[in-house]
Amino acid sequence: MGDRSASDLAGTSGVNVSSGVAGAPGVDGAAGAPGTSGAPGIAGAPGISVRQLTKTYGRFRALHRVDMDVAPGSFLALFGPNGAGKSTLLGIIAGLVRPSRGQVFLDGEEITKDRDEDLGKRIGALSYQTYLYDELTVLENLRFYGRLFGVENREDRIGSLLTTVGMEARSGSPVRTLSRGMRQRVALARALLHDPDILLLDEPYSGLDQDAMVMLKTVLAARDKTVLLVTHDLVRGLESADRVAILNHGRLVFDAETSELSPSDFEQTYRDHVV
Amino acid sequence: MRSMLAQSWQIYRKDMLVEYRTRERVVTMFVFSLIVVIIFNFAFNAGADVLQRVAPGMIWVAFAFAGMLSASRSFSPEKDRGTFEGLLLAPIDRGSIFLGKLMGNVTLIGLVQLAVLPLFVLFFNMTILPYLSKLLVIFFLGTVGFSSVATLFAAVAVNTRMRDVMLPVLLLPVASPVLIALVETTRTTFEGGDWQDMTNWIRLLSVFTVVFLIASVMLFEYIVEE
Repeated sequence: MGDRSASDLAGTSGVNVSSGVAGAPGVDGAAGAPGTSGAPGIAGAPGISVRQLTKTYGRFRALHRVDMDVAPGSFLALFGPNGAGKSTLLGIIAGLVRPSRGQVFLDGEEITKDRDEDLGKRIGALSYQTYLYDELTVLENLRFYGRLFGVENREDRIGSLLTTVGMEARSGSPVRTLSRGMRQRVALARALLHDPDILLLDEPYSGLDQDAMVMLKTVLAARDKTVLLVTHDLVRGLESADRVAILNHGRLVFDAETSELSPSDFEQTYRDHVV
Repeated sequence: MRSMLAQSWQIYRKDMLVEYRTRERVVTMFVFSLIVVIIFNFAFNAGADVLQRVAPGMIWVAFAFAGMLSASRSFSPEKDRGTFEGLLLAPIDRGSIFLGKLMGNVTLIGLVQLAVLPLFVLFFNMTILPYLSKLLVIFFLGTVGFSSVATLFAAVAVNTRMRDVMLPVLLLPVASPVLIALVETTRTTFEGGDWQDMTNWIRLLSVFTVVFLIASVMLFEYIVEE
C-alpha cells in the first residue's frame, strides 16, 4: 500500500512529483500547468512547480531532472538519506542555489531565470542553522531581519511572534546565551516575521523540546501556507504533511498521500527505496 | 538606489554593533599593524632621509594586511554560522550586502589608521601635520579603493576551502596598482610635493576606486550564488 511510482501519481492530488520519467512535463513552462495541479489548495498561498531540475557540482549530480508540483496551501514532506539532494532542492527554490538546468515556478511565474528580489518576501526559511547573530539579542536579531524584509508594524509583529514562540521573557538576552531549542524558537519567529506564503523547512525540529514541537506543529497546522519540509524524522513528517516524497541520489523515487500510509508501511517503503 | 543604500546601512549597522560587542576585528588589525610598525622601526634604524623614502611602503604594508584581515573576517563568521544565507534570503539587492560590508571595512581600517598613524609618527620621528589634509584625502581614496577589491575577493575566497590562503593570492596582484599609487602619493606628500606632482597617481587611484566599486556591486550577486 502506498508504494506507487511517481508517474502513477501524476496529477492525482495536491503534490505531484516525478523525476526523469517518460512523459514528464516539458521544460517550456506551459507544460504541466505550474502550480495548479488541482489540489485542495488555499487561496493566496502560491503553488511551487519544479520542472526537469538538475544541479551538478563538477561531476557530482545533486539533482537529476526532478519534476514536482506542490499545490497552493498543501504540505509536502520530503525524505531521503544524506546527500540525496533535499537541501539543494530547497536552496534552488529559495533562490540561494542556481540550477544547472530546469526551472522553478511560483504560481506559474518562473523564478530561476533572473533573481526576483521580492522572492524573499514570499518565502520563509527555517533550517537547522538559525541565521541568528550570537552577539545580538533576540530583539536586535528580529529587528534587523524585520528591517531587511521590510516588515510593517515591526515592533507589534515581533512582540506577537515572541509571544507565540514563548520567548518574550528572553527578548533582551544575547542569542549566545540561549539553548539550542530556544534559538530554534527564535529562528521560527524570524522565518515567520514577514508572514511568507511559502515555508521551506530543513530539519526544523532539530533541537526543539516537546513544547516547541507542539508550537511548530500548531503553526504548520494552520494550513495557510504552502509548506515544503525536509526531514529525516519519518513519523513526524508523515503526521504533519498531506503528501510525502522520497529523494534518493538526486531523483524522486516515491511519493504518496499521507492518508494512504501508516507509519510502519512508510518505514518499510523508505527502506525499500533508500537502503 | 536609495533603498539599496538604506539596506546597506542596515547591514553596516548590524556589523558595527557585532564588532562593538566583540572587538574581534579591530583589535586584531590594530595589534597586527602595531607589530609591523615596531618591527620596521628596528629593521630600518636609518637616517631621516632614508626613512622618508621607505615610510610610505611600511605604512601601506601594515594597512593592506590589516585590511585583508578585516575583509576576510567580514564574511567568514557569517559563512561559518550560516547567517550569510539569512542575508541572501532577504528581499534586497545583493549589491547592498557588498556595500554594507565595504562600509564596515572602510570604517574599521580607518579606525586602525587613526590609531596607528600617530604611533608611526612617534616611532619614526616624522612630521605629518603640514600634510594632514592631503594625507586624509589620499588615505580615504586608497582605503575605499583597496577595500572595494578586498571585500569582493573576500566574498570569493570565503567559498573556497583554503580561504585564508586564497584571499592574498587573489587580492594582492589585482590590488597592486592601488597599493603602488598609494605608496607613490604618500611618498610625494612626505617630500612636500603638491597635488600637481601626483596627478597621474591620483587619477589612477580614483579610476581604480570607481571602477572596482561599481563592478563589485554588479558582480557580487553572481559571486555569492552557488
